[in-house]
Amino acid sequence: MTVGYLADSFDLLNVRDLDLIAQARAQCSRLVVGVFTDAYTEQLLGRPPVIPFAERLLIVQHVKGVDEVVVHDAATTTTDGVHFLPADRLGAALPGEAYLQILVPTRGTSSTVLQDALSTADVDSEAAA
Amino acid sequence: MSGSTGSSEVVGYVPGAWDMFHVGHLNILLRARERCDRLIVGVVTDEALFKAKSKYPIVPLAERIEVVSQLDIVDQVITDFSSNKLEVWSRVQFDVLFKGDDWRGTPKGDKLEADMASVGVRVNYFPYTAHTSSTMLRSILADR
Repeated sequence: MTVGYLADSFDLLNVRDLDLIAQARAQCSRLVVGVFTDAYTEQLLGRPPVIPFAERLLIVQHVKGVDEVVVHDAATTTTDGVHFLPADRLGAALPGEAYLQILVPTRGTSSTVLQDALSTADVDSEAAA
Repeated sequence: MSGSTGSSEVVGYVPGAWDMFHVGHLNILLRARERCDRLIVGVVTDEALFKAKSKYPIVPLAERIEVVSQLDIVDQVITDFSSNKLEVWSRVQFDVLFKGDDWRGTPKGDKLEADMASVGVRVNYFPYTAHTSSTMLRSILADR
């Protein structure tokens, strides 16, 4: 039995997230999903999430193929099984990880409002402005 | 037993836009799921939503359908083209229709109850907060 681990913010849950979950689930028999805390989302993506942590957690719990949901923050250092890392979340790679697999998102929302809300902020240029 | 499913299974139907799916939506679906054996979710088209609320959704229909389809508490998803729920019932038979209690005792609620009663379907109201949440989300996104 292969255990897989996939972590992301799952903010404003959309078809990109569902694609990643499906890709990960297709390669394991039990999928544990990590949900980034609000602080970790801001640290990694340069902006706070739109939806607060507790609500993102509740929703991901009810997505088909998700077997368990856990908290993922800056203190998370290890996972069980294969870590499926989204290609646009490489900053969330864990130190010394042995079983890492990059997942390339094949879908994205066509809603420009969602795209804008979920875009990764350029922290440096914002600080300079 | 009402409806025409011919079994003791209670089939529920809950229509909505499910735009920018959030925890208010999830709570509605969880509550509806508790009150039936099989839950069918209707997803209202962009055009029908505009007709009813004079605004278009943020997320297009195909993606709204996909998100709802991937929830473990949802058994079936269909497209809901109009405010006429007899049209939906002609395509999928259900025993109970779930609706927010902001419709209870209003002319449109009375019409819905009469339409549904004509095919043996009851209307089950519950506290409805999704609209408020969606409106809040829209304003948060507009401010970003």
